[in-house]
Amino acid sequence: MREITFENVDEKVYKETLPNGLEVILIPKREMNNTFATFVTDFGAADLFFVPLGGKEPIESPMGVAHFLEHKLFDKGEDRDIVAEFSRLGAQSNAYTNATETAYYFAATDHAYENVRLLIDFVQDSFFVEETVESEKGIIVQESQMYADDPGQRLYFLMLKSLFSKHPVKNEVLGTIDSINGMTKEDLDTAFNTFYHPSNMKLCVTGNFDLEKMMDMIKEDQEKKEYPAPTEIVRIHTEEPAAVASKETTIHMPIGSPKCSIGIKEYETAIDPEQLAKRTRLTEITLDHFFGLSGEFYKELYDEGLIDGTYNYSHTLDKDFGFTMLTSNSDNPDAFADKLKSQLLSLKDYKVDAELFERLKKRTIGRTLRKMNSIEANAEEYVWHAIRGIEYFDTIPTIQSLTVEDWQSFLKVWISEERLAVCTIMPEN
Amino acid sequence: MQLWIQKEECQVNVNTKQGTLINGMHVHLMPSKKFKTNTVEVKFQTKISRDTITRLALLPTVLRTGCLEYKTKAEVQEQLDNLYGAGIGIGAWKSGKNHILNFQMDMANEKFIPNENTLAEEAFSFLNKMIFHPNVIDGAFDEATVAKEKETLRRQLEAMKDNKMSYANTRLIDEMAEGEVYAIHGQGYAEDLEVITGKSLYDAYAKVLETARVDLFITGDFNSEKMESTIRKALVGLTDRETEAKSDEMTVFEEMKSVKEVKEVVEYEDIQQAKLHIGYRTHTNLQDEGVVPMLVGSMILGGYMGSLLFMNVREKHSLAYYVNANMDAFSDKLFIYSGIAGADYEKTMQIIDEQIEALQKGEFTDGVLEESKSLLISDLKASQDNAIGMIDDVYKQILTGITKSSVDFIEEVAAVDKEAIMKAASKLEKDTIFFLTSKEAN
Repeated sequence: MREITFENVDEKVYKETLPNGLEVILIPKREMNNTFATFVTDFGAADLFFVPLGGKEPIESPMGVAHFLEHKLFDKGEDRDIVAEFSRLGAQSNAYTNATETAYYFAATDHAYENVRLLIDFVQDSFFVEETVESEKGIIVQESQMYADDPGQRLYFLMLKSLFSKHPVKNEVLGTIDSINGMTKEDLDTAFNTFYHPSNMKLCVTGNFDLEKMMDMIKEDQEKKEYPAPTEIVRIHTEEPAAVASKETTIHMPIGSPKCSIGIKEYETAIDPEQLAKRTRLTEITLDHFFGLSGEFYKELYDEGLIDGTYNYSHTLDKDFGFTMLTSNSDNPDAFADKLKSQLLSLKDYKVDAELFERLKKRTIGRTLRKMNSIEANAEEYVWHAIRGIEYFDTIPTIQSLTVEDWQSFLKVWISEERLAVCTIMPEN
Repeated sequence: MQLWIQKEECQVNVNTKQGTLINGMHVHLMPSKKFKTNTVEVKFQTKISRDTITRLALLPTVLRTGCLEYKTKAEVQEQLDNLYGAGIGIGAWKSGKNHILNFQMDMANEKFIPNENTLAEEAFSFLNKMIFHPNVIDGAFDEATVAKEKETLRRQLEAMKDNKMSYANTRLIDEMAEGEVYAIHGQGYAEDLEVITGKSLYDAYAKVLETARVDLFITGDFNSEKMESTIRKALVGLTDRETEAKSDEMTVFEEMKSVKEVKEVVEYEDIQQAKLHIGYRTHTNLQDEGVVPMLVGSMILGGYMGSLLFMNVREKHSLAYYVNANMDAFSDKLFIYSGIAGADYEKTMQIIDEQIEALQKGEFTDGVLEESKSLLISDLKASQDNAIGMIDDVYKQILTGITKSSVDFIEEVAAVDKEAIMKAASKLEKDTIFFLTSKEAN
């Protein structure tokens, strides 16, 4: 077990890669009452082209296989109810699938070891029966239809499809109705065997537990299970152009007020971990300053009646893709989009100010520290960063190392016309 | 059952209700390695009164706008950014017979920021300006600001009326607690807003500053001696003075009431879903032994998805869209809330009565008892993982004069058995029924 001390934030992280390849990350904090654990596979909705474990030729999985698997792992047949088993151990459990990861987690103030064992056991046990695969399809199709009725979700995926023409991040996490209905037990088995191999997974436990006892328990559990030797998973990447797939898209839905989103295709090729870490913070600072709720531009949008309380923005930056969306309900979506576009395009000529940048860095540092109060956030962020080769607890030094010149160079190249897309949902009629 | 909370931690400086007297404030330092930010709360405790409640309800939003040095929200924000994205919150609420005006600040801990060592002092000096040097000229707050915030509060009070669930709660309390301090609306009264001026609002604030008992709490990873001297140096608005709340008579508890006959109030409105909200007297509050069994009992009755009310009213008879029970341990009251079809009034009332009776007779499974206890314990433990929860825990002890920490409560909850719950529940007495329904349904 390796001990890494981050004196700066007073955290100690213990790591060990077990013989089967599983990376265990323990961040004990005995002062806390809660224990949180997340068990994550580096496998999400965008992992569709790969060479299966033991195979030679690449295959293409049906869209939505990662999410379908997440559902099925909770299903252990008639006589078991995983969520209720966690409840009986005083834990609240859940899971999620996004473009790049599937995560299973719990939080509990009691029975830390039993809960961690239950977490590992239920995720590592694939119990796929043909007929329950069939019955799950109806449930997932319904879930997908529920999202389809939600204008916010529709706009989000509409934008991803406008930004990316080939990269699988453009696909809906749940898949399409056809791909869900076409799912077979073999599809699930193949994906499970390849991506739920311990060497593609990380287990992170934070909060109140005894370090040695927890590690011993996890090791003992893993030694009892048999896995083929770890191998590198070959994922096939498709070439993606820099320009957006479609500049302007409008659809109609039965909604009250129009909804509009401006998307930025940040990048589409792999960037290295250090770049990713820095770019993430610069993007955060930039969005916060130019588009944040305490900024001047927001006030203008608001005073001109172009936005309402639904205005929001988010960025997703990853290993080989990145995008940002700014969204609001607006009675005048064209004017909203034009104003945002010209603001974005003007930033390449923006003259940065050193004092301002220092203030923005400080705000970001404070926010980072506040987030580190939470053991849940620490586990999730640590794993996310670890999968991407970044040390999460070095975030503050990373922010401090940013210079005003970094910001100036970033702004110079951040926006270009070909990387912007606008999507609008208009009311019917 | 394992108890994980470190007992000492919850009782730092609480043995002495006074804390350390610094610049007219009772200062409670609660160092903890759990957090990377320091959370400060400064609480002004005064006696509640119907006359001043609306002004006190308006104060937080006016104070939040700025102070003499930072007059606008934008200037305040800029200063907060300079303080490493510190957050400030100002709030006001009722606590039994008392009113609490609360200033909260969450700041990054300089310990974790290389080359930074004056942050705490700067943050306290900012807080000092926000509390003690408000934007007041010639004894009055800025009239335009006051007018704007009055309008915002008026709209909030209107919106509360439109939310039928909160309207039914307010009306139930109006009827049940008539004549009690409990019935005063903490959020203020629309009809009192008109006459408030910048001057009358400042007069109310000046009275609070002059007469309140002030408690300051800070939790985070700091050195107590150093923090104490920082506070002494930077938060200097008050001098040692006679305060309304200095004596122990300033209790939060009201006298308990007996029930002569059940009061029934029906109102009609054009609504889809009727609200049946019922108030009970528990003849118990935090001062009594029976309060913990009563707390567990209220959980069993209607505190979660497996509770008696949920299982019977909602699941078995499909009568309610929502149904739950909630007890106020600062007072002698327990409430049951349900949203039903107007025509189902009698049937629902009958099933609710049956559940109260089941609780009193101990007709619930060991499973429900254990789940209720473990949910309560888990909530109590989890609340100690955040700064506000820790501060609340200590402040509750100061307000009530009952030095029982969460750890003590957890031990008591763990020890509760069926007999204790039956005994506590036998005291439950129906007091008032408030029914909001439509003409068509009845």
